Amino acid sequence: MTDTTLAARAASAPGVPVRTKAGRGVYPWLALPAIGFYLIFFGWPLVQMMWRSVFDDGFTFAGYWEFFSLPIYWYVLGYTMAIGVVTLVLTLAIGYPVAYWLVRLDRTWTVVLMAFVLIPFWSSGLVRTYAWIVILGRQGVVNNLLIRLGIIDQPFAFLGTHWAVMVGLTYYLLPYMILCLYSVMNNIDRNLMKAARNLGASPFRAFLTVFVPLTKPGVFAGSFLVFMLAIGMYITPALLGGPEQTTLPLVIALQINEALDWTLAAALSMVLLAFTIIIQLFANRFVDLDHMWGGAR
Amino acid sequence: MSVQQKNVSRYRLGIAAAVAAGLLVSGAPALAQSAGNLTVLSLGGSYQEAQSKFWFKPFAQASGVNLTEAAGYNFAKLKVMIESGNVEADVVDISADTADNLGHAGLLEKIDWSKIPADCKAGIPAAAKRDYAFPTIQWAMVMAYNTKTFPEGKAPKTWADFWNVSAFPGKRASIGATRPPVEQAALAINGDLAKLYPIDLDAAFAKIKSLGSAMVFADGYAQVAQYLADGEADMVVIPNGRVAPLVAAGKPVAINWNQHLTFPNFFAIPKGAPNKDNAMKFLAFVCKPEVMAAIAPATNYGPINMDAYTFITPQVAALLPGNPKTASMGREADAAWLAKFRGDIAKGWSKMAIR
Amino acid sequence: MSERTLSPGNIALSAFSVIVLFVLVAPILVIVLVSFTPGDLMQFPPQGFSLRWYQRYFEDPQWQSATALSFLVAGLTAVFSLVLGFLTSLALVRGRFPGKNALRIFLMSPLIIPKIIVAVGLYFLYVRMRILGTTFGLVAAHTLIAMPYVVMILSAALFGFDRRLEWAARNLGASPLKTLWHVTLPLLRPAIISAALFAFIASFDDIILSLFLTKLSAPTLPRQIWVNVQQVIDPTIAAVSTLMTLISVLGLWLVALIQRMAARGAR
Repeated sequence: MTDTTLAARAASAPGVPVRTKAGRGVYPWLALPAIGFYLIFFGWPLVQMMWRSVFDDGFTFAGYWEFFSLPIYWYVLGYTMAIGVVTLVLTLAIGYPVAYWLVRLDRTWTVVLMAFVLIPFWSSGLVRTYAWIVILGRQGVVNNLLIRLGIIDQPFAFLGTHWAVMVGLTYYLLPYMILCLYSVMNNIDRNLMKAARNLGASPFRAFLTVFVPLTKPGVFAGSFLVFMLAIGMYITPALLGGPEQTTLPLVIALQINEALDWTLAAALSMVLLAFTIIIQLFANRFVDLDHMWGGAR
Repeated sequence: MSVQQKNVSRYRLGIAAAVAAGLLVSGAPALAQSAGNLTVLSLGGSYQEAQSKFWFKPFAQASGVNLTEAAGYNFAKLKVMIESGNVEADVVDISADTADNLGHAGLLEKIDWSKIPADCKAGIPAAAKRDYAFPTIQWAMVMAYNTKTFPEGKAPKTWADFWNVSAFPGKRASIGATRPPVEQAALAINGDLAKLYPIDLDAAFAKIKSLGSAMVFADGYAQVAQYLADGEADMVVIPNGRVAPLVAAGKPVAINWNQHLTFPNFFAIPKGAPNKDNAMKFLAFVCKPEVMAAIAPATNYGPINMDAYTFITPQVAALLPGNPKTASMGREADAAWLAKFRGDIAKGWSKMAIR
Repeated sequence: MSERTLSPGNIALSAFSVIVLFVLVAPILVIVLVSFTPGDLMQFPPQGFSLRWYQRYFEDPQWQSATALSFLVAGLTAVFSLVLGFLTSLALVRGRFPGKNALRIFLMSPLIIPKIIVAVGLYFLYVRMRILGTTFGLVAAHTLIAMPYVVMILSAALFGFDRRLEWAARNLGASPLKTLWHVTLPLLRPAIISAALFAFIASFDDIILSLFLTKLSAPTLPRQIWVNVQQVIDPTIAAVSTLMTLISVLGLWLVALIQRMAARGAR
């Protein structure tokens, strides 16, 4: 699919040189170093864990059986996916207007304000999560503020609730979303919007019909990234959540670290991997993966 | 236990002797040659700082062994390290159930008790001795509470009180996933310490769940202490040593020793440790009662060797698990049961996700 | 600010964005303020001012060696994953071969498999390869978790890339490598920078792989922080985190400054 669009684009471009067969033939081979690297440093450990998921003093499907027979793991898987979707929606809803605002600023301002987006990256994720414990606590900044404003009269116990986990995840992943959106928005030719305005479209209509469709690659890339990171997060749900905020990575880590049931941990990881692959293939039916990766233009 | 009541002068004498011995040995640098290496893996933080000051550094100085300290591991890392034969540590500070687990799996070296001096062994209760691990200190899982929320006379006394939200309103906190408070929940159901084990895990987890949003869970003990300190929780399940710094910082917190559980800690030598001999030498050094006693004031964790109490002031002794005033209010945790049901406890926790 | 007017919509958008940006840095501000507390606990607002927690950092050589190791590993990870990721992205975007989508999903997988699984798997591999505890081993592991970001960002940029510019260069007689160096890479610079950033961060903030794959006595910064918070949550970690932010931001600013000066000099 890529190549048809590329070829079409190439064919329509003026002054296209005749691309040599040899030149095009080189490209696929460039993936080889990465494939080799992955096979050694990812494939081998993965195969080893897969093997562990079915072999423990003899062949066993105990791990998989435990997953499929107990509703608890289905529940945890569902919760994990739900967390991913909610985080994705929240970061997109918050990040899109912010990225749009940043793109339209003067360049000097953009540089200064982008620093606000980037600075959280340069601080330990673990320490930032502890900062949220301080902020969200019963004696924390948020509760003090709400009480002083008269919105509540008893401190609200955020910690150990879905709220705390959602705040933590959204906070942690928002910069990823803003960066993905910003990089795409930044490349959009501003004259297109002006042209739409000149043709009589209202600012809002021009935004909706011209700008938004052009940002699709950024939206897809950001959403994909945030969703995948959210369902894999460990520290945030572990520190800010309680037993009801258990996600699949937490269960897997617990099985490895405490229960030493590596058969189950490996089986759960395989289920998680299979599930995300299915999601990707499913997404691929609606959104061409090429587009998801920023292909649309 | 009259040993603990012996007067302070003997304690001072012991310190003086230890210091003198240290000076004598350090005055002989010739010994420092070719004494080899030793890597000790402990738990980090202020606990390891105290160990380092009173145990590790004095040993390095006395023996000339080049001692490296490492901090921070988890059960899984320890296990893969030993299983894969790539053992980086010669001595590891571990809990009783980890010691039992690894020992049964054949992943620990046998302790050569014949190399431990007789005066070290005399004070160690027979039950604390292990083939694969040397007992060092014990800590206690206690209830700590905010004295502002629960002033004198209104303080919670039992784990049943801890679970009684209407009589003792307030937020509770405990460590979650890695060590859910199953014993405490069982004691809330039936307060008889003698009948604590075996624990009915299903009932215990149901009890934990019954607290609902009155309970907040932390990822580690440090976080539980933080919750207690900043008022996030009014009542917590916590190791006694974590409360001492809060009291020192002037926080309104107190320990309720009733129905506490004591847990021993051990030094173990991983199977295939590169410096086994030095590890044994190290054990023969730290096992001395006066050395064992030295970390008590800083950590509030008590020595398992009863003879060590000779070297501890009565003021400090009163804060330690197993002191005569509080010893009868608690019991030792059953490490064998814990080791056996470790996996089930972890699974029980996962199942709590469904309300 | 050519396109902006003072319409209610624009004001609302600005207000919203400013609040969001503030919330993004608020925890950092809390950390910075807490790091100056004289007390023993992570408390906000801090009671007074003291540098004792910074003193603690500078008195302990372990903290400094951990900081140095983390910067080294993260830097190498960024370089490795950029080279590997750029080649891969070229193949994915410009190459035509069967199984491309499968390859893409495979390349994304390290993002999904819980790190602890990769860590345990790599541990046994590294023991066999005898590279356990080496800087290379850790860099390789971090490169693996950085690759999904790099490949994703670079392929997105390559898709949007106007290849007519390359063809023009080739038509003017430039060799493929020269074209790459003088046309393709400069045009991709923003994407390369953000890919490098993500790769650096993926390494710089990793606890789990470091826990398993570093030497016990030579931890990375996040692992050292993790060990610390297992025992006491004291303001040391706030001081460390503040220093970490400061060093990174100053470093980036210096790089930008040097680049600008070099650009001016070239002109």
